[in-house]
Amino acid sequence: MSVLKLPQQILAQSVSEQEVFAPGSILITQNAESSFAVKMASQHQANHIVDEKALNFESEKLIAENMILHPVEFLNQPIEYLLPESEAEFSFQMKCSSTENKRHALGQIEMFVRAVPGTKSIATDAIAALDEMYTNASKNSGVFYSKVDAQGQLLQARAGKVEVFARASKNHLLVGCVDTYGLLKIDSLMKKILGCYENGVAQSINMNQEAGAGIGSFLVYNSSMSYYLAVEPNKKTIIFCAFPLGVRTKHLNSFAKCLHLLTYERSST
Amino acid sequence: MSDFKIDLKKNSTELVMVFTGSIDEDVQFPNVDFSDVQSLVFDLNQIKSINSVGIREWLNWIKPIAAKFPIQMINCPKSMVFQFNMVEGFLPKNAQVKSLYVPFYCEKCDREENLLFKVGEHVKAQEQQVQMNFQVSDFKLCEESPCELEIDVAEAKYFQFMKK
Repeated sequence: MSVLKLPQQILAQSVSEQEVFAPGSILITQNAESSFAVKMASQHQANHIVDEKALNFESEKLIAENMILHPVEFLNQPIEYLLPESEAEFSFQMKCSSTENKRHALGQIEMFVRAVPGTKSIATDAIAALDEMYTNASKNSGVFYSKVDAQGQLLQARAGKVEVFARASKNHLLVGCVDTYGLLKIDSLMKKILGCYENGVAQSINMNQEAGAGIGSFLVYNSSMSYYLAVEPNKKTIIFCAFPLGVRTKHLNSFAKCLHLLTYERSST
Repeated sequence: MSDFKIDLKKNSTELVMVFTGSIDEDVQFPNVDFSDVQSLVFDLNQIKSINSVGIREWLNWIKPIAAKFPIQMINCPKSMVFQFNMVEGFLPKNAQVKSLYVPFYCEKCDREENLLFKVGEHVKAQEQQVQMNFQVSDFKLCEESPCELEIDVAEAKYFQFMKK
């Protein structure tokens, strides 16, 4: 029987410029600014940043451990690792094709979100986050905004599926998307989000109208308290984020952020 | 299919534009005839939502208009106020917010309200400070006495755009 080494927990007291975190480590922060986690991911290759002031600190550490120790299982059933059905008070799931009417899909989930107790102050943010995630999954991944290939031929949308999820515990709401494209580049995404914090949102917008604006993921990360990204390249992209329930609008920023990243290619054997 | 539209109403040389719907990747800002127009009023109350692509489309659309006309923004919902604060240029230099909705919450009644604040009357910026001048009773919303409606945003952040 093999014994799995528990992921190393590192306190983020001070991080040197050159420091690179080993895969499988969990960086513990202490009431860090929102941009800090993204900076650690982008510049120091941290994959799991968990803050002691997070709403569900112990659960976030467990999520990090599971993503490190059981990546295949996580890719197969991410929501069960993020918020098991046995612990959920409410649950929603919807499968869509990549060309499905976005408004219809989001309308369904909006009804669910607004019916969950304690979502008054975060419902708009949660739905906006799903809008961004769904749009990225169905449009930016599948339909390439009239892009052409080297021969000038219009790129056709790849058929694909987008699955949207929403699940609520007693104290938090989890929303997310899983797509069957697997095209997300986590490194690039972290750089983009960090760029929004360091240079401003307006300066980070992609003004090319043939593509996305490039700030949607920042808006999701900035408005949520936890952000979970996992990619199986060319197979699957998983994006979830969490919001606190029953919290007044003016207290929403009192929870420090957690960030979890995973890129994993399954072996073919 | 977009649910976005702008209704127009001309008052002498002032054009009132009433925005309705979502500002997203499907938005199509209409071509507007600005002949004989000297100033604009944007009524933003019915804007339902705005996403990242919508932010870009708004910036592209409003920039040339704000370069030519002074704009007053009225009845601004929370979603637009967040963009004023977060995205440089979203509220152009030539534009002023005249009224905006401010979230309030009553712990006793477990009730939320959005109160319409008039800039200059209920809130104003003076020398980089934002000063509020209101009584909840002025809005005549709550029959409970005393009313416990409290502002439900971080004031310094919510009114940050007024200091610029």
